[in-house]
Amino acid sequence: MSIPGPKYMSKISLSILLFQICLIAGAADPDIVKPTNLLTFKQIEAGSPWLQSGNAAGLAQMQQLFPAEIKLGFNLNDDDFHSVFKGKSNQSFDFSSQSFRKINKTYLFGSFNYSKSVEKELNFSNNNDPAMNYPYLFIDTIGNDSYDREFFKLAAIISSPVNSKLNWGLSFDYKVGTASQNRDPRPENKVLQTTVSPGLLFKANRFKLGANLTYGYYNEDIDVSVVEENAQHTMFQLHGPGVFTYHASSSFYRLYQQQQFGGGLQTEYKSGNISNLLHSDYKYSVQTIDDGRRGGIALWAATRNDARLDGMDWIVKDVFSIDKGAKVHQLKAMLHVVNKLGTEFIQRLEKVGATDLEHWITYGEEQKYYSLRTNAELNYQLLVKDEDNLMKSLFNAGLKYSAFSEKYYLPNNDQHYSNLLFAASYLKLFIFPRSSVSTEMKFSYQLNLDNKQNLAGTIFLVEKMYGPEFNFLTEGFLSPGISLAYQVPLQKTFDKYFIKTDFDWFHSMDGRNRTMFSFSTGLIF
Amino acid sequence: MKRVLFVIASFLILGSCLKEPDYHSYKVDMMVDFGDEFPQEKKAGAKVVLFNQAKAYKVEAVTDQQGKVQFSTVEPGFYSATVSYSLVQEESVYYLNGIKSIHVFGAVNDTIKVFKGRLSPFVIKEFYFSGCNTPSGKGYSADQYIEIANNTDEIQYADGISVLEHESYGTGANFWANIKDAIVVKMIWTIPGDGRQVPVLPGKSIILARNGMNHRDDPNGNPLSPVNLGNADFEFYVDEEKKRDIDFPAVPNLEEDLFVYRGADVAFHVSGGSALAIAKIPGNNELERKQYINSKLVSKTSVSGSNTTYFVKIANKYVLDAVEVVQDEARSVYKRFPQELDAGYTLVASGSRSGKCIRRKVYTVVQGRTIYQDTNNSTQDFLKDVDPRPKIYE
Repeated sequence: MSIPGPKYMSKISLSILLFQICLIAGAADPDIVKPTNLLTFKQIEAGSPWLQSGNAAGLAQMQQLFPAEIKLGFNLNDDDFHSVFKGKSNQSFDFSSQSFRKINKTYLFGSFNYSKSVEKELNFSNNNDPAMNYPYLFIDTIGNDSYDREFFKLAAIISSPVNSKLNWGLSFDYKVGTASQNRDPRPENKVLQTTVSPGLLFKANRFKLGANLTYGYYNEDIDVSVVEENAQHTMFQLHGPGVFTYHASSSFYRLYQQQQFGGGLQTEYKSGNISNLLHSDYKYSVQTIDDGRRGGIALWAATRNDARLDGMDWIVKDVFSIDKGAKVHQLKAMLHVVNKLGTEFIQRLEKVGATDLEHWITYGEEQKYYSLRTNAELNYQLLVKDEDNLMKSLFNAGLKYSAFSEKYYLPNNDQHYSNLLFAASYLKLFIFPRSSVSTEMKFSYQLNLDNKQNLAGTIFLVEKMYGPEFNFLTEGFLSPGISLAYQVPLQKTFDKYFIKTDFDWFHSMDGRNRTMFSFSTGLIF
Repeated sequence: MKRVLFVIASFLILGSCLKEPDYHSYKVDMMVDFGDEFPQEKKAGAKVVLFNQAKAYKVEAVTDQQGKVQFSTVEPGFYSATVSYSLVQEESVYYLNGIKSIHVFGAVNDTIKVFKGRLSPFVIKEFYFSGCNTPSGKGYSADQYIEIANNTDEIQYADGISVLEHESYGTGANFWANIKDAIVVKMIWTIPGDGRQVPVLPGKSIILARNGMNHRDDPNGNPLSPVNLGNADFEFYVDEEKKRDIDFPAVPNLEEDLFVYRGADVAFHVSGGSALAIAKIPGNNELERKQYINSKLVSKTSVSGSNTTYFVKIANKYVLDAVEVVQDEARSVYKRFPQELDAGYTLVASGSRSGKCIRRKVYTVVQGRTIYQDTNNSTQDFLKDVDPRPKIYE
């Protein structure tokens, strides 16, 4: 699939932006009183478990809040406690808008986000999102890189009743953007990611039963060039922990394509002020990785597809709620399993057919990589509302167990670790005659339970990359954080103006730190 | 209650993990065939290298007393197995080399035959073919050259020595594989002289340039070229009607004996693929040499049958040194030179326009004389992806 270049993307983004502004302007109907406050979107997120179920038909189960928001944001995170595949600092500016609406019996949600970011002091990545492509990453070892990114995201959900017992829904999201580095070897990444998911929701007395299907497509095209004359750089194609192949070249080309299929089931039982929503979401993905070089200096006559990554992503979640009107207690339990299987193709470049053109001929395939990530989470939440049914405080406390193990066969390399994370936060809204202020205190603490790394050899990449990355993943840390927001009402058209700032600080047990700061300002209406 | 349990069970069944990899590994047993006359007690200790051509890694083992070697867990794929062994006999050092393609898709039990290599007075010291970029980003390959070194402790005369290029670029199976005692070439250029006119001092070399000029400064050159070939000893000059090749008068021309695909200039494949040899073809002068060449013509008919091209086969015994350059590891399976001439292959992995070359490793330096490694295995004898350094000996 071809992805439009930045020039065309700005036209697309402008069109989307105009569409969004139209949607938002339409939403600001002065005849409808829409009760909102600073925490409205947080309330929707915390108080509408159906929205997190993955079934678009569940949008109609959300609380009767239909806010809209536009905002500008600045985000900065910096310092040395980070993944080796990430840069030391990352700063971004973004513009976003989102809106919930109800037209007759149809529920609508739309959001748009534009972000421009710069990631600095990056050493080991030519992938836009290393987590997405792991373990088949593509790197060079020339450090101190800088990644410039420009991304657009669009999401929409529609849900409407078919009859009194059945709702249908459809969700769609689309993300497109480019990322590029400014130092040889310099990759230009073009990324496209989209998901579409239709769903149905059946209601009968106290029971609700939902089902949805999901299809996702992801495409990342990496074109690496070297500007310096007569210079080549070594590009590393990672296959698994400690295993790689490399090529010295002045250009390189890689294409990731991923198809994802899946679906989910949801069931809710509600009796009086007690409800329980159980949902399970399963996705299967197939990612292919194509490598090659550009025509002018091509040594490989044809693009080579030498690996495939099969993935499984399964979430089962139960949300138990007691709604006492002013107070809503919620207990969530979640199990999330992500499983990957990497297959390598044994190929040889051969002349085939009457044209005598060379092609990579596949002689066999071998399953070589396996990983299993298991996250188990238990969370308690207390949501307190005022007489207008608007949230005025939110308390959260949770425990998360995560385990990860991965193996590569021949040479036999493996690593395993498990962590326990405790996180708590308290959010409170203070109402004043002409304004309101919200504060949130956050705290999290991670403890490593066990870890084992067994990688053959002491090669450069193990020393500089896999070793430090494992240390990062298994390092305990504590993290306090604070959020402050201020809101004033507006007289015309728009309802409220706000400014918000977040600050989180991570301190690892080995003395490294990371600071995350964000500031945003916008309108809620 | 049953219905509730059924619903919960169906949710859990939705999730099922992928199975752990079902991977394979195989045993590879190799027997090194040293020949009948080889002393039994000296069969132990020969190094056998199994090289995975797709992933570019190697595993090594040494032979036992029977000349056997075993690799116990080898992942499936395409490998080259090479044997290299040095032997001292009657106060002389001999090198034994063998190479074989191995396909591992099950247990392998195979034999590699080794050949005793001859040491040549002249060796190919450096071969620069990749070319480079011009400031405007175009390709530039006029600065290609071959460097031939005297690898003995006596003065050797280079006149009469010919440079040969194999008929194939090694992108497909060798058409001439059934000819065992000769190589088939498409180009022969010879250093002029009567055999006593081009002396080369011990450890020193001569440069055969595609164009004998200072490529960095000359208006016809390229300021980004890595070499100055204004002091080359000879150049390849194609004397044709349109005079498209520039003749640099300060540098004498090589004699053109054979140029099958005659064009404006001699050009070696910039991506690699030119398998090169130097030989002393029979004949005391140009006339006798050409008579010999004309008596050794072999033909190849095109796939369509519409035309026939003639090449020349040169007996292995006349070849002094050979280096098989391939475009990349994947194409190393298309071996062209026999094992007794070159048991291996080499390449510039950086590719075309990289400004890099291959250079023979230095074995030792004795009283200021550089002695180059010559095991008749270019995989071992040559450094890859190095900067061209014509007439620099270290």
